[in-house]
Amino acid sequence: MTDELVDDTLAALVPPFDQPLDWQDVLDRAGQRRASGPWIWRSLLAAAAVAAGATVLLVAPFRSSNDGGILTRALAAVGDGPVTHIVFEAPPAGTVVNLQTGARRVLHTEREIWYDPARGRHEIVHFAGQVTDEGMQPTAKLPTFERRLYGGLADGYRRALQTGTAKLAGTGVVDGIPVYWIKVESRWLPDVADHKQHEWAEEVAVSRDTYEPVATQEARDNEAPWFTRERILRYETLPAGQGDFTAARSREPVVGAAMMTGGWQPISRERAQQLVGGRALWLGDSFRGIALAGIGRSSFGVRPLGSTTWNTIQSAHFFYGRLTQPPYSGSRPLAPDYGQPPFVSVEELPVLNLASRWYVPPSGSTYLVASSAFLRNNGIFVRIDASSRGLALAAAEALHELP
Amino acid sequence: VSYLREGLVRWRSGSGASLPAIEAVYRARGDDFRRVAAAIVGDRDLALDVVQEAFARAVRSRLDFRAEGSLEGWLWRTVVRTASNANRDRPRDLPEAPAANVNGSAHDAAAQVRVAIASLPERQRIALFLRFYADLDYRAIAEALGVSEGTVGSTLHAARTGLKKLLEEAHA
Repeated sequence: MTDELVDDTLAALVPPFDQPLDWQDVLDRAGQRRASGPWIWRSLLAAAAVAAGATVLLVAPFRSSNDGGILTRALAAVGDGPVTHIVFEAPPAGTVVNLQTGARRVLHTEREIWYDPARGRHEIVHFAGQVTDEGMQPTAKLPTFERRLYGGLADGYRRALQTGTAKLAGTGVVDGIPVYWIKVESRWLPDVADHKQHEWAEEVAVSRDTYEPVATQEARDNEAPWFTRERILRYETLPAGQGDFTAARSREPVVGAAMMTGGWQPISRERAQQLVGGRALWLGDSFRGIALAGIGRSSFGVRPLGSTTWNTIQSAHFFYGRLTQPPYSGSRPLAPDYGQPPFVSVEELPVLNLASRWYVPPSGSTYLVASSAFLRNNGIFVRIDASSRGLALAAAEALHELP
Repeated sequence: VSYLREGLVRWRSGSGASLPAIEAVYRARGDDFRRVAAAIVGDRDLALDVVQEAFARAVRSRLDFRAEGSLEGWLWRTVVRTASNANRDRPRDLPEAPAANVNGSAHDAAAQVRVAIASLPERQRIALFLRFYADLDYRAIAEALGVSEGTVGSTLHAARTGLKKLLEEAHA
């Protein structure tokens, strides 16, 4: 009786909604524009291409007759072994800046793929010299679309050159290397943003000197946004039986998962010191004319890799800028206003690195991603978010111990 | 193809969630999100705002999504957290307590249940809502609350037991 009563009451408490959903409102609140969101058209185009089946590849109907032998030389440069080994370099992820010398080093994610139709796919993801992900799957266990995907990725380029469906698209320069751009596949597909047909093409750049592949990009109507370009650091084909198809290597585990469980709550300077073991860093009572608006703390749940137990830790958070009333009315305390530049947010944790990909830059340097800076200083992890990239870097340089 | 490839890598390396994937969950489970949010904040209009705001946050921070758990679990966590914060920081519209000498009408009994539910600890209450309104299984509730599946079982059991006890006390 009690269970039924509870269920009936719950059902009556919140009846189903009859208002329509409004995804555009979500995008507006997030500051996204549907038409310009690259994932929308990229994903839909890619999904449509895969759904179209085996004919996705190699639909260019003719081979350029006046390519001057470029395509023939490009084919000769990739070899004919059944095993393909490719190392891709993604667009820049961030920049490590030495805080003493100002020396900069751009970091990329590198993706190394070994593919053999007989043995499967071995993929290793590297970031800043560390293996961050690795997977080995035999061909039989690869999902059909993934098999097609990696098969096409590994030898689609070669087959396009062999069958004559590839065509010369133009010339250019990639990282200082003069290249020929070769259109490997192209297809006309609709874009949900404008409901028009567009030509979507996968292009490969080969060195004008060696004819080896040096980059890929995706072009829509012959325009390729910079973020679609991946450098090919290595492309080789090997005889049957060769290549690295060993099981994934063991590596040091990173933090399993972390999530914020409680937002800004004002705390005293003394409490901030306690939270980071007396090693708090700050920028003084003001920084570049921006006053310290408040000191707060946030809570994070942390779950080690392989564990089901969540631990809670708290950050010390120094906010320079303006505090404002959060979106919901009531007794909620004033909180940092990230929409009102200039501002600098300095968040510190003793045991959790909030940096992208958990990357910790070398001592005396900071890792810059957009207008955020990450560093480890004085034995604590620091995340700086600022209203500009320059301000974030300046704050990283100016951090000093809280007296 | 390279975008699917990139998507696969993102998915496999846990380095982000795509906008279409978030939109798909939003469209598939939008009503469930709103009902759970409404149960938490006690206000249907505010619930709508909470869900929209939670998804906007998810969209903004989608590259921070790490695929140790499911995308839907991550979105549930975001919605629950946003709703809990909204609820914590506003005057709560608790159901009115029933009169002390009620004598068993269906209306009074329902009012007592409402009060009893509002009296439960927050985690028990939210677990109950996720189970009832969204029909989530223990694993999904565990992801949404950031606890183990075993904890979900004991939390739901405690919620039902607590409700029963509160209702018995009301009738004593």
